[in-house]
Amino acid sequence: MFQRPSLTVDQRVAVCRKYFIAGLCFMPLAWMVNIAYFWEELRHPRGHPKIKRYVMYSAVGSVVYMSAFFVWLAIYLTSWRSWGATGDNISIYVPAGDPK
Amino acid sequence: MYTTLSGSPCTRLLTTFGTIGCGFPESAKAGPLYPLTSQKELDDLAAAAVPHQKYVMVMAPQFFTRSVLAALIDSRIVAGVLVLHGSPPVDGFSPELTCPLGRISAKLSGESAAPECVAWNPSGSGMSHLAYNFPMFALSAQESATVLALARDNAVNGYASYPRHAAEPSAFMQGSKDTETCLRRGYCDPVGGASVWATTARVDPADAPAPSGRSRLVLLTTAMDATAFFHDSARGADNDVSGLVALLSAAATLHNVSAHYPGSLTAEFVYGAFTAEAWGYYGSRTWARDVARPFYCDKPDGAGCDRPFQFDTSFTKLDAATIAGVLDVRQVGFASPDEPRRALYAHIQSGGASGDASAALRTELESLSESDDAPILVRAGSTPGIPVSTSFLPPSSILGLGEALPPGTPAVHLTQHRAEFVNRYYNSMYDTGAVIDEAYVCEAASTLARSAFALASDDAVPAWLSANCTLVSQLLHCLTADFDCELVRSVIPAAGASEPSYYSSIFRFSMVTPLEKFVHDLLAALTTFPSADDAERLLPHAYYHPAFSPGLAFDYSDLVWKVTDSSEANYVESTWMVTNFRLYKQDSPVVEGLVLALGLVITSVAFGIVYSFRRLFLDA
Repeated sequence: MFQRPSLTVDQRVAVCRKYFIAGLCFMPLAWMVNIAYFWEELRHPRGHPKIKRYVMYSAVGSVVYMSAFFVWLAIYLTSWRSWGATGDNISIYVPAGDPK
Repeated sequence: MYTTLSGSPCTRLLTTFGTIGCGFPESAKAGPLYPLTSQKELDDLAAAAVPHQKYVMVMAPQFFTRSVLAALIDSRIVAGVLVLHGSPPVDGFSPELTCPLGRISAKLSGESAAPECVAWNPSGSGMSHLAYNFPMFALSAQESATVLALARDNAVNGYASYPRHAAEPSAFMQGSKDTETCLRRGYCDPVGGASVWATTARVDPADAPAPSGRSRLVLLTTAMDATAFFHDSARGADNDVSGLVALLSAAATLHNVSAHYPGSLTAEFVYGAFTAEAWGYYGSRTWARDVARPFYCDKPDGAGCDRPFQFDTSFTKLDAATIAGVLDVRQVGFASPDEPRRALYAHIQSGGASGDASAALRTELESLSESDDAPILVRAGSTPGIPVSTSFLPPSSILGLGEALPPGTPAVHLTQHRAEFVNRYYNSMYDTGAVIDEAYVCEAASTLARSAFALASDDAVPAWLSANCTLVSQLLHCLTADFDCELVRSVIPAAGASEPSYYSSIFRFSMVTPLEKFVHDLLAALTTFPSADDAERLLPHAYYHPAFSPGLAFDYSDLVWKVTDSSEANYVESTWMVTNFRLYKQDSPVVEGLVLALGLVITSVAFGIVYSFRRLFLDA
């Protein structure tokens, strides 16, 4: 079977940092992956402090981004029809015969 | 298993203010057929309803009314409506508004006191101007027989017994919300078409200058479109084939006069057969706007213009300032036993810059009609609900021509109705050839020709000047009963459908309907004067002109239609993929469940057999 390559501590910190920076570009999923991947490190009392910090930042950030995203989604889904041409232009799919 | 019928569908139109006609979710349901042919069946409807079951109503014409439809919408048990073919309700049926084109007529009249609602159409229910959330179809006589028999079967067997007869309508309309939204999304086309105009004046670039020195223009106009609840069923016989036939016959008479007594005329004639008039005088307004304003062609295309589109640019040679008078004719043929024909009524708009001139022309036409040679009296019309001292025009192309008419131009609308419409079937599917009084149409055509002569000549109207009643009769037959007739075939070889719809349909660049082509080619012949020494007079002088809402414009860079004036109604038609309905036998849910179970059993048995064969022979 496939053997997971073991990473050095420095490599693990670098990966964690890259994921954190990637998540800053409005990619909360990258942060979530970061949390899932380093979950045990976070829970471990002797986990690397830098990794713990990046994972904590990722957690807070993903909550903020996800809430912002869902708030926007709710606003968009309920009122895009009232935005006229703008509403159509930002939509990937405009249903035909939409009664509203 | 399925029988697919086409019927005549209720489709959706959109305006600046919303939608009218039929529109519903794409997942529209099928339903068992339910006959609505008697009051009892209508009363039993609520009791027969099963929760969550929707029915397709098979409706007799007398129940196809605004109140029944409103009740059906409220009942929420309707999957669709099929309207049976039948004789017209005797007390009248008009799905048009009681005050047709009221708002736009008031605006175009230019009078601040003009009422937005004049009840010209007392039979009008306004049904055509409401929105419905289920599909509807009008059936032909043959389709009616089939569908009604199946619906009766359901009634006899009980609606809950299986198998039962059901219909699945498909008429999903892609356009939604309003004109602006629909055009932007590309699911709509402007309601319109090609108007036809022709002239005896020399407007062609190849023409030599007119030697006659006739510098005045006399306009003879009419509408050539109508509408109905089901657009494909708009036969428009009285409104406005009768007006079109009167105009064409008058043109034929005046052609004889011009050909044989050219010296008697001091003016040239312009004939206008305008389309899409039923939606807001689109044909006459587009024409008048183009004639009155300077026209710049960015990209000429032969005799026409590619950008902005024009079929032909000869209209630029017409000088609007030389228009000396307008005679508009419409609705001159309804056979009405309770109102025997007595006179032709002349309507004018009083007041304004042209009120006095129009009143004077009307008086002249009245006295002209009192001559012994005149076929019928002309009398002053009046406006319903308005004191006699003031008057407003009924729906008339004169209102649409306003922009092109110089102040003081007399304009008279000739029609059959003194005040309210005589036609009880205005803009409905019952306005057919059966309601037409041919003799009256011929009298109207004669009166129109004589009136036009009076406007265009200093001589007295000759006693012999009258329309050819045989031609009137032929034209009426062709345009109301059989478009594929000999006369039409002699003018345009490929005539097309024998019963055309007079709904203007949508405007298409460079395209004309067989009706528009027939009117064009006939008017071309009636404005051509063969003469040995005057070859250029052989040029036909008939042209098409675009007709669509003046509040819309085509954007040639984005290649889409755009709204330029949102105070207009701006009628556009939704696009659709398919309009039909299919009939089938619906089995009970138990039977359907058994079929599914049986299918599953067969599948598992087949799987088992294949599996065991593999085990036995292949894996060994």
